[in-house]
Amino acid sequence: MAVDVVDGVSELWESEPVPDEDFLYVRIHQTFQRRAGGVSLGWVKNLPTPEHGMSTDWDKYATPEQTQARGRKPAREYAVGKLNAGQVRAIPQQSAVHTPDHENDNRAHTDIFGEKENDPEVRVMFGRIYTLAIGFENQRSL
Amino acid sequence: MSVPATEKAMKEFLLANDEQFRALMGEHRQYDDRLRELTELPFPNDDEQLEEVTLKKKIQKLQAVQHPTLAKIIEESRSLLALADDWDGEGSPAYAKATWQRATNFLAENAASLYLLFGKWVEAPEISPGPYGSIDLHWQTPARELLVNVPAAASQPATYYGDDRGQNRLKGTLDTAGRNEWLLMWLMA
Repeated sequence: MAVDVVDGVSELWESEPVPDEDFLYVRIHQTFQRRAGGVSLGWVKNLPTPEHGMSTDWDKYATPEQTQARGRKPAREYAVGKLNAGQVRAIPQQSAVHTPDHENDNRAHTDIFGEKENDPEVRVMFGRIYTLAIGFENQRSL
Repeated sequence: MSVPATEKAMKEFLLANDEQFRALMGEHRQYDDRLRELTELPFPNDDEQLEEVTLKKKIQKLQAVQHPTLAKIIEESRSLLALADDWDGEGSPAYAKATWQRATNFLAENAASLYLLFGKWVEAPEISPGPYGSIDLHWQTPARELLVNVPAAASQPATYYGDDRGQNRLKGTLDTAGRNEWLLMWLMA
């Protein structure tokens, strides 16, 4: 369901400003786990096409577990990365915009817009600011 | 001294400022050129035949020198080819063998060439799944980080970015079929 119901009246979620101090959660598939430890950088991409944004969930409305469970593969196949919104905005061309997903009943949905796939600098910078809220195989690292 | 940001500028920088690089690049070219000349001779004399055999033996000897881990890492990375469409549940495509070959050939050829030039092996990178069917070669050394992305489209050049986590950085595109030892040399500097 794409709306909150208040006193029997349906209410669409509006986009809200995401403060720099808040965090965003992103699913990272287990295939990105590095043999030497850590995570490779292929997870930094816009979906479903390069013209879209990178899907994340705002921590105001989501927990890491909820983000992990929203994938189309079993939750155990995903780690969950944690990104600070202000640090994301400090990366060239990147912006974090709250984009509630009414179709999938996800009020937390937030897009990180900006070129990623063709700019390895951007992906290296994302690799330097993420932490893992949920590690691979559901082992918490934070 | 800052490092130039483009491939062309970097090569020119090294040729202009590094006597050893200049000498070895010249020697390497001569070595390749001479072997090509010899193999194209319709009727080589005894000396030329001996020279060709000697050169080939030298090449074989050099080729027998193996990177301690590179061949293993490349072989392990074949597992990328087993990933089917939508392997991550996010719509990622499968990896084409041609893309994998392009990425690993680039790595192997330039690592070997660097070894021939300087007698040093570059550290093996992480060969990992990149976005949209591309393949990443990612190095993280104590001093520097370098990411090379080989795209799925064969007509597109690879892109790269590297820095020393400070002001020394380089970024651009490169032809994976060309000679790019300079990039690995930068990583090892």
